[in-house]
Amino acid sequence: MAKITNIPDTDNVLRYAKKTHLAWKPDDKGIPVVVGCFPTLFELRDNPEFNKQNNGPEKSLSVNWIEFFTGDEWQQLRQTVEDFSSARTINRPDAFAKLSVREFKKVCRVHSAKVRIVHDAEKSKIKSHSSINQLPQDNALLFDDLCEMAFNSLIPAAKFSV
Amino acid sequence: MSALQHRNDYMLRPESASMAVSYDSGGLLDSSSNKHKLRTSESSLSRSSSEGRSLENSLNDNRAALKFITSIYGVSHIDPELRSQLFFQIDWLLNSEHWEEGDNFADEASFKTLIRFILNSGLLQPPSLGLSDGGNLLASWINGDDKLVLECLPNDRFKWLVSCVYDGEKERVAGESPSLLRLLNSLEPYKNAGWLKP
Repeated sequence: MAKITNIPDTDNVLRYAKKTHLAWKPDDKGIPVVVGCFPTLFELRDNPEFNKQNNGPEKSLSVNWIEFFTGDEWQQLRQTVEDFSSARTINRPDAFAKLSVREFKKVCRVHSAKVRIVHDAEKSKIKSHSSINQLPQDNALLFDDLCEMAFNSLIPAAKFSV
Repeated sequence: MSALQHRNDYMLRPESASMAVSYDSGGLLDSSSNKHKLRTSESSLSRSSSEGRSLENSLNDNRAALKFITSIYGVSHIDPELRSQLFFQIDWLLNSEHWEEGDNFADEASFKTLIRFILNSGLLQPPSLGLSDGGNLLASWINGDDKLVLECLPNDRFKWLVSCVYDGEKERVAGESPSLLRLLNSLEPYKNAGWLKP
């Protein structure tokens, strides 16, 4: 049986934000700047292409547990991104949202949602792989709050020498 | 010619405190065995497999289709500057350099929905565009604390969210509209928020 551990509220998880889930706006020199996150950042994937490859829609939101690794904050972040990149391609305009487990749950509770955030890497190539379970998919206001939280904690992938 | 038309480079610029970092710092993943997974601009540009060519061609076709739709629907109605910014965002979104295997292309029917909204809403600002995993166009207009976010579905259907601040209090409304007219009616009370003509 796979080992599943609850991630402590004091810890943090990293959510990968693909370029297309970020809102960009060119500045006055024409350089794209991130001005927000789209709610799709927190939506479970459910489209014909994905479902075909994965035998159905996504069941939980994938994140990575930062404190799974040891070291100072940046060493932990770096190792988490390295771990993530062992299975996924990261592009330079992508970003990562560093999300506090406590704050994430608090925002969800405001919307009457009780989520479980667990480390469940047993079947994954990614050692820090974790999941956010029971995140409602029909609450646009919750997604808006989560987007604001994510936007305020975005770390550009380029910072990790991508 | 707009400054946008000269740009083919990009930069993540800080808009929040956490984004305020140096993007040329380098070396954080220097000796990682996973480095091949971290795609640099140079390595992407040098891809020359037939698969890469095919992807580039498909993305070219997708970009061209969206621009063609813009031209057909809005040749005389869309402000040239707005059109230029839309084209810039299309090129930015559908850039093979940052394309991931398995990503869906932009859905043309969804893009038509977006263009019809732009033509009929009296927009004051160009949108920021994104793409859902299913290929639907996402659009947002952010004006200080006020914002409008749309997911454009085929056949003039929308998922939307409006957030506005009145007298220091935030008001938010979200919904799904089965037609463009229904969406425009729903947005009517928020016309003073700065993205639509009052």
